[in-house]
Amino acid sequence: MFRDLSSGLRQLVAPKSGAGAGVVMGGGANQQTPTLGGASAEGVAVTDSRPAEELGLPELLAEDFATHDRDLLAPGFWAVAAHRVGSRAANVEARPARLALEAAYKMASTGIDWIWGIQLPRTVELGRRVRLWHNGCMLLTARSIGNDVHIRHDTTFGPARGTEGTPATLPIIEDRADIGSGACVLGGVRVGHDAVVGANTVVLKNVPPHATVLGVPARMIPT
Amino acid sequence: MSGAAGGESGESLGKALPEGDENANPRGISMAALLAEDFRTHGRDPLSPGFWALAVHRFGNWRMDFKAKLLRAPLSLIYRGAHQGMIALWGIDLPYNAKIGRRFRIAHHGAVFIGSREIGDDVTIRHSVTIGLKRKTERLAPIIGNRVEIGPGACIVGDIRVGDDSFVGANTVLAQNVPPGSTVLGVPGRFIDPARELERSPAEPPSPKS
Repeated sequence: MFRDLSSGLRQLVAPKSGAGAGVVMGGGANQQTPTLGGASAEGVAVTDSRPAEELGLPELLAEDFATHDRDLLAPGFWAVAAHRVGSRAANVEARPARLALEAAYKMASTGIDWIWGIQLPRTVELGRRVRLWHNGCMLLTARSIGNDVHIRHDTTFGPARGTEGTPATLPIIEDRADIGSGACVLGGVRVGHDAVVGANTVVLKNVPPHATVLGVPARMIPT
Repeated sequence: MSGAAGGESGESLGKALPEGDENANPRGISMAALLAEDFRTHGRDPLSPGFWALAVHRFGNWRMDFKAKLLRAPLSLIYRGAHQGMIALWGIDLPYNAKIGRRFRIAHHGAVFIGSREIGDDVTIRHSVTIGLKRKTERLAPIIGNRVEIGPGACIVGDIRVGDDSFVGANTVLAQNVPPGSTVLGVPGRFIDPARELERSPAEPPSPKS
């Protein structure tokens, strides 16, 4: 029993081994774009562009904690942390450990949803150093969210009307995108890397890289 | 979390909503059957905040069947406590005197305020939806038809009617009448052709840009 638990824990904290883990992986959505001096929360140049799956859990959580200004009370940190643990729980082979982890994830994600209003399902392929600013009404059912993406409160990622259900109709948020408060990104669209989505904007079409969009529905504006 | 949406409601609504002196739950269905139907509508999920908020709303109406004030007082106390709890925990403000039809679904919670005069059957709303008055001096709230779907962040305000089978898009601000079967999107809401606005080529690979 204890051996089961300890091996389960070891599997949890180790880097995720390969795919086929029962967690939906949006095939190749997380491109390895070379980081063009993208900065982390502390303004340090980022050189590490390994995907999140290749990092051990402690390393990853420490990075997420640093991204959220080392603030233990930041709801965004806890939402991301629950996602990291939850998406790795399915990999644990020892049944008792897995069931315990799944139950803990269910409780944590429900609590985060109820108290802070952040829904970040573990089926989302989540990049590194993703920062969730503020809390409330965040429903982040994307197919993938890239590295260094910043997301504010009241944002909605999800299927467009009448296309619910299939993973292909969920949005893809690429690296370093900046999502304003109240924005909705709906349907199988792609928000390009380094794009800015303004406050309360409704995105129903692809946003090219480096673009800035604003309005309902979204329109490109000169930067 | 999201009390702002409900914060101003109580005082300014005044006579905008029905008096709330009678049970306005849908007719011809028992309270238990109604709650069972609402539970099914919310995906049979006992953790669904939308179901509980709607259950509190139904309870608030059901208690009005007790005409004896002494009998009703404890039920009213429970209703008020539960209503405030829904606002504090999940940000869903659903006053009992806003009439709501069958199979109403609150798909996600947070910053929801429903101050409509009447809502038809099979209506779906999402988070951050506001239905209420246009301004302080006006006293009439919207009427929502059957099978209307309301996207996240939408505001529907004033003395208007939203026709059956309409769709109000995300973050739309709607202050005008909507004929049945329309799709509205934008600030202020514009009628759009959903085939043109929502249909698009599948997500193309990002064009590399230096």
